[in-house]
Amino acid sequence: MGKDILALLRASDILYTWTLREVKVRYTDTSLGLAWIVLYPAGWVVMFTVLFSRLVPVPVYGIPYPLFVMSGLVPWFFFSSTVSNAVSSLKNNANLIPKVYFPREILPLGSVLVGLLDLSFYLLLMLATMLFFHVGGGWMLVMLLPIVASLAALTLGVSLLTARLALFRREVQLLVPMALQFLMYVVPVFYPVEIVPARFRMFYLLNPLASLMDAFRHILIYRMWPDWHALSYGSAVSFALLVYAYWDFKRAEPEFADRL
Amino acid sequence: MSMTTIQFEQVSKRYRQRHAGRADADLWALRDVEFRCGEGEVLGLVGRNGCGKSTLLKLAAGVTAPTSGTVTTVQPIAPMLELGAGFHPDLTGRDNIRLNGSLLGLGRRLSKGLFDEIVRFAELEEHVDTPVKHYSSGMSARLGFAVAVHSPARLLLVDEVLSVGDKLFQQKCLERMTHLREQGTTIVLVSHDDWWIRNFCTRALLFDAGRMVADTTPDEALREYDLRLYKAQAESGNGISVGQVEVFDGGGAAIGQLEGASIQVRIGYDAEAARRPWLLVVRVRREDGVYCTMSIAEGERAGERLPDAGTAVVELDDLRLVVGRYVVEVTIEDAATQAALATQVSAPFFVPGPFDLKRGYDGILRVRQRWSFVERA
Repeated sequence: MGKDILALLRASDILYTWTLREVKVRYTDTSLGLAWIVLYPAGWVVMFTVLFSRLVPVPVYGIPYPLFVMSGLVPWFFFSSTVSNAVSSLKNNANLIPKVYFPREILPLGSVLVGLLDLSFYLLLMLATMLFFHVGGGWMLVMLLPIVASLAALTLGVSLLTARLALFRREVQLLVPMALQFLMYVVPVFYPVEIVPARFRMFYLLNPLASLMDAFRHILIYRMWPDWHALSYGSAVSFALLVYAYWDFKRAEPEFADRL
Repeated sequence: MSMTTIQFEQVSKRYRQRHAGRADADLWALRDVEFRCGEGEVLGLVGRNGCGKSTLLKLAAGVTAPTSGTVTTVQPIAPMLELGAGFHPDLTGRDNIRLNGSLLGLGRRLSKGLFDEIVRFAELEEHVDTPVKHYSSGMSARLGFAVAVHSPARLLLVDEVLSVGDKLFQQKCLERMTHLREQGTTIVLVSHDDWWIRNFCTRALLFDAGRMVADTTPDEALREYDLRLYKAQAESGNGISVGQVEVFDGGGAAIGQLEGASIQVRIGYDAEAARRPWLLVVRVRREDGVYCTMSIAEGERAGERLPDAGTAVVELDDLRLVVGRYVVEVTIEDAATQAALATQVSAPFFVPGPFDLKRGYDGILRVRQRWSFVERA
């Protein structure tokens, strides 16, 4: 694996140009252009706010609901849109992979980098909103860095696994969007973890994404330290998954061109 | 010998063909291929479609792994298996040069100067900031070609991408490829254009159904390839065949070297199975493929019929060929469509020339000639 990582580092300029290309492709030729990146999440925020602060209120500890749901949507969008891009990143480049060799993990990794770019943008937007509502902030925000790192590791791990599986089994490309839709209900996006009954909460937090997202929200808007057990568990699982997924990806890589 | 740049050791590649509801079928695209190649060599790959040439290039490019055996190559490699790999239609020429270039090893090395050189080579100075989707197919092929031949590759893999652009651009391609060859870049080339194999390659490998059947000079490989094609045609079972084709000199002795200017060709043929009027066509070809002259006998003419099978003899006089090796190629053709029904080639014979000339002859004919000069006053 050390050799693979060295090869990836040597190919860093391919990663860079590839990521840049992905970003450019997304923003050329859509008439809304950059506005799109704001309008899409804004739609979700409005919808959730109407649903869960007016119709079926969920307890949010006095935090303005739009802000509350944003603190869930930011990591969720990162995970879900990255994975749904990454799952087809190998398949969609069927004209490239059999023609020229480069470390293939660059394709899913590019999706993750694009996702991180969006994430940073959303975080800035989020911080601006927080300033507006006078909620959260402070030096605790530094803790977001290791949380985001774990989140990125988890996302990359899942991206590598699903992208590779999609080459070997057709169903994967269909199943992943469905799985993502279900997943949204079992991670803390529009409700706080605390509404899960205490005896189930442990199982609920077995999902590393749930524990990372909960920690993210604690730091960002509650100004409270997260559940350290859940957070360290979530990070450990994320990095372990990444190592496994990368090993698995590289092992299958020589066959990619023949599968397309 | 110079440093090895590409080496295949007992390389085989199997593709598994999956069919729903049926057992998997194995297809051996390459079988026990073995060769090595050094700097500055240009290796031509010759053979019919599906004989394994493209698989060999993919293995050399590292995009697919051999089923058994080892492939060793130097880095960096510029695979031109397709021009403009990774081009995105919505992005400009400039953006696409960046990405395509980094894939071909031109990442940080892509300086402003080199970038401009690529654009100039592709003759796209005015369109470099236009999205590639507005390019004509020739324009984007030119761009892809330009990037590939400016990469720092020590091994260039070329799959049928040489006939890009107009005549002038092709001339430029040839010059650039020649320059790379002189600089010691190894080039492996697949082309169905004999011209490239014959004139650009230093060596050629002939493939037949996944096996390497010859590793020799380009001329030899092409001739062997032709013979195999004819044989395959004969075996395809239309029942029509040309048997032995023998060439004799004016005196009736079998020739290796032609002294006079007449030859006699004796042909065994069998056209009994032909359902339509046929022709017996004799062509004299120089070894490099140049077609010199011909003679035709019609199977049926003005009510007269030639025997449907037997031996034919044709005498060609005044055959003033220039120095070189020649073959006689005999074809039975369909009189209406001129489709070849069967073909056979003679053993080569040699036409000696005036060896005191440093320059050598080219062209087809040797004629009686006189020079005269008048000095300028």
